[in-house]
Amino acid sequence: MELELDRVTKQYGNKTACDRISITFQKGVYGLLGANGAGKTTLIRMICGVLAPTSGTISFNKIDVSHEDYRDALGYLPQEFGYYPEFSALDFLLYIAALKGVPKPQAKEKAWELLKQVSLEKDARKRIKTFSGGMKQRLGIAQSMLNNPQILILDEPTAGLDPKERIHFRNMISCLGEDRIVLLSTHIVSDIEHIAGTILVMKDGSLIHQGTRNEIISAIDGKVWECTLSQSDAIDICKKYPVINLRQESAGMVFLRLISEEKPCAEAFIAQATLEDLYLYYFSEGSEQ
Amino acid sequence: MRGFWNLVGFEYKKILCKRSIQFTLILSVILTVFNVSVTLFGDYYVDGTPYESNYAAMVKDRAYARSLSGRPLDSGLIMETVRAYAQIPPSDVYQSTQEYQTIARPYSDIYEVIRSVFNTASKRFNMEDFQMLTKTEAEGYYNIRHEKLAQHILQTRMSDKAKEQVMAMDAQIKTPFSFSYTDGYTRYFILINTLGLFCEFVIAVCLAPLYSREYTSGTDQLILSSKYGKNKLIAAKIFTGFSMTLILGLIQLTLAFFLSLAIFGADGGNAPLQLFNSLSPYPLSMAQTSLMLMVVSLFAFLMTGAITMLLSANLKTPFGVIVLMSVLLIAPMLGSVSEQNILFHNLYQLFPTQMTSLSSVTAIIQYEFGGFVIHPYIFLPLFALTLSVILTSLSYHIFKYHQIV
Repeated sequence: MELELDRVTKQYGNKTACDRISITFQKGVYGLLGANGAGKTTLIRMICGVLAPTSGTISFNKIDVSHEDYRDALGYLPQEFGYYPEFSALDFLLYIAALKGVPKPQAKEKAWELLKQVSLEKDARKRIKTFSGGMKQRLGIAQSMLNNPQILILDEPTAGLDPKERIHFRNMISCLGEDRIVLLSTHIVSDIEHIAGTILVMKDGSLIHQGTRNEIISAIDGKVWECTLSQSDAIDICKKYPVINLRQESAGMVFLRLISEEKPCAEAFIAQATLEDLYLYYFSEGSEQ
Repeated sequence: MRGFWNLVGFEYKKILCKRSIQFTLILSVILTVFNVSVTLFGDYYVDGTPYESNYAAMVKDRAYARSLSGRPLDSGLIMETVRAYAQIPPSDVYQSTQEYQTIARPYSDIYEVIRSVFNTASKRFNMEDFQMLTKTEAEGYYNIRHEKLAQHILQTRMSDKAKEQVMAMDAQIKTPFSFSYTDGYTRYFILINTLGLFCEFVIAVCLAPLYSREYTSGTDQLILSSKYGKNKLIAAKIFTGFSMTLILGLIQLTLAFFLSLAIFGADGGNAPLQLFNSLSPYPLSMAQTSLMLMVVSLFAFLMTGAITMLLSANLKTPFGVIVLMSVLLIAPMLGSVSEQNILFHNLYQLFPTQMTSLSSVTAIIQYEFGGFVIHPYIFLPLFALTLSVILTSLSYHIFKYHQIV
């Protein structure tokens, strides 16, 4: 099982949204991390065949992205998930199942199974227009899995879910990643941190890092600092460095967690880096990394 | 075909579940019924006062016309009509006279058929002229009709071959005409253009969201990334669009037709078209003309469906599609193009709303290509079919390669 991207590029006039991206996905969960405008959604749309690359190729097990068999292996939850307000949840899943070529009897069975998994069983016959944002999102997750896809692409899947639903969904994704390729794009770093075996970091249309959580984080080892300073010193430090965390302590002191190539002040000491630190390191305003 | 019908079912569901579409469908049926029967509402006024209800007038006139049905419209019947009308004394409103109501009114349908031949561009043949009609003139009725038609044909800018073919068609018309009561059919001929506009508007409303709604709702991403989203689904959408067009068209056309016959009477199916339009060169009966109009109208509806689907695939909102279609449907009805400019005249007849009118389908001006003369009732559906095929393949291509940016 191999999803291969070979020098995939997408240009809009002079702007390059994705620049010669080459990567081979194998079974497992991949987390795609990047700021707004980094090119994540463009890349995902190209992988899903709804946006043609300017150049480069995308194939799954040597089947080109434009082929019906490629789409047969695909499950996709777009960032802005569209639905038919007057359809019930069950109708909607049956329609998507028909689009995915799932035979009618199996489609019904699978739809009920997924509705149960995303806790929408009781609301199956209610019209989608009566659903809350979270319910719609869960329905979106269910539709993406109707054809038991070998490639599952999820763009911001946990947006609108409450913490309990998010954890439930994360666990579900972890299990799914055992026998398929799952590509998860999100701003919620902890989602990726918990379930992604491989993390891809995108910036300005290029993949700047890829690897396991520890491999990725090693890039900022020794660059995360913590210190407790007076208000006035803290203000100076905040102006100079990207601050990850700021907490008011007692007696007018301020606790700071920040990123810096070198020791920012005498009181600072090195802290254990996390994925959130890495995100800030690459995507903080004015970062030139 | 696996899964195809399932997808078609869902496409129908998407369209028919919308309240605005349900409302439009119900409204179109109500408007059809209203339009067919509207002339029966209210009263028949003579000299400013209600004389009888319109319904009673229709029943009375129908009975009068039926009593003369089957008689040849020859000089004998013409002179009988002249004699009846000659009884009417001079009056500002001759319909208010007792003589008209009791003696001449039974012949009023025949009077109208005769008068239309004697009318000239410069002078309207009125009741007083009719009262003076001589036997010789009555005997020359068909010659005058023929000369008038021939003159009209010769004045057009059609090729000699086309002119000959139109004259040859006219020569096939059996004379004298056999008179018959035909109001059931003629009411349909009068209404079909307006009803065609209603139907085409309903088609535009129903099909406007076919593709554009997927763009506005964001479901295009789900569709185009699914197995059948770039082939079978589009085929299902096209099938849905055309089948719905045909169903709506058939319902509208047959409802109006049978309602018209049921209300006004089904007599006159075999009567010649010339009882409605005395200068028509087409050797057709009322029933044949009705069938021909229905067939051509159905093709016009298919073309409307194809145009709507193309706009729907191109535009981002169903509202934009409806606005453009409304302009396309209504604008041509507001003007006209002279027969003297054959190219523009013939192009003008190709608008969907023009295609559903009897005057377009049985126009004297023929379509000519490379020495071939094609009758409008053949050319119009052929054009609609060809354009529909081209536009449909374009909309298929546009949706298939739609990019989510």
